Amino acid sequence: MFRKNKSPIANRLLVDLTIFAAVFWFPWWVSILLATWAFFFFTEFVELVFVGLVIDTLYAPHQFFSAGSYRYFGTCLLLFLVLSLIRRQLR
Amino acid sequence: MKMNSLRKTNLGSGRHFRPSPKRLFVVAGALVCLVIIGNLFPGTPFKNTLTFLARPFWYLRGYVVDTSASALTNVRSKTDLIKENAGLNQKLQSQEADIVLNRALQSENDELKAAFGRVNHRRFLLATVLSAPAISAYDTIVIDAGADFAIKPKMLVFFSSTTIAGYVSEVYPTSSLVRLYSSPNEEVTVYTESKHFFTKAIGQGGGNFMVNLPHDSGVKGGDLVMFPGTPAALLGKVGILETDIAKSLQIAHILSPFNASEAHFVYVQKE
Repeated sequence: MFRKNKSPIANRLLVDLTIFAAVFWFPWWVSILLATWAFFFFTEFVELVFVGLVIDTLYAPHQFFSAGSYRYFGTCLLLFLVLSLIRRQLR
Repeated sequence: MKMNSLRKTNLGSGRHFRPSPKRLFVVAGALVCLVIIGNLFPGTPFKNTLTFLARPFWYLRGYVVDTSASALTNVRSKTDLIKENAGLNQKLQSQEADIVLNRALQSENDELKAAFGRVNHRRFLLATVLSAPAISAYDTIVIDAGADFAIKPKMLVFFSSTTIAGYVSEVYPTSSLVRLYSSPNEEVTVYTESKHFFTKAIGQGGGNFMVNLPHDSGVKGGDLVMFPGTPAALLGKVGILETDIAKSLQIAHILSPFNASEAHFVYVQKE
């Protein structure tokens, strides 16, 4: 899919840009699905957690100390941990 | 040489993935701190910067959607357009009579309120919708007016001059975040137009509300639900009514006449 061993950083940046553009252009689940897919192609794909962080920061209404304002961040963090465990098992 | 090879592999494909729990913990911890600080206070630099960066993307999306919509109109068949035109003309004629009657009632209403010393109009600021549900999660909309247009938190936002949408939740230098009253679990005091029955409408998301009414409230399907104020604003229309005999309650499902995901402009009520 990506050009192997040529410029992995460039590939990753391209995927990052696509995922973060999806946050602005498409419903939330599109970007999370894209990030989940990318998780299996790149090592320590912390961008997955960042996607949740960006969604919460852009769209969550301000509520002081409300767990509801961190919904997508929590989901993505959990997804990141679960996927890390799955990948470790698959290794 | 070996070190270089390992480093190269680590940046590329995940086949040689060796996660360091310590590193993951540090990254996750840093992010937790970032999100808590970022979302704790309104208008932090992190939020402002992110909204600033998102603006060109939102504008580009709006442009692409508008252009593609007009391009699709151009390729529609002549017969379809003639049919649609005839339907719209018929609809227009039937509504013209209603408009004349509404104007007469509106002017009478204005005169009565003026006679009793009340102002019957709102001052609005028109704002373009940059992002709406479902792209915007949390049932919120982002508008292109912020502190630069003297927008303040808690200002009321309308879909039209008579239909309420929500209120300003956060203000950024050049944009604002609007929370819709239909957001899940958002509560708003309303009254039914037919019986003047005051109650609380609870947002269900997607322009839907739920209202608990006594069994004998007399509210019927199609009744208007209003947001109190002078002048009052429309919140929605009663759709389905469910009767809960065990609790002697009636649950009314209310639907907003506007679809927030299709809104291009909203009106912010000025102070």
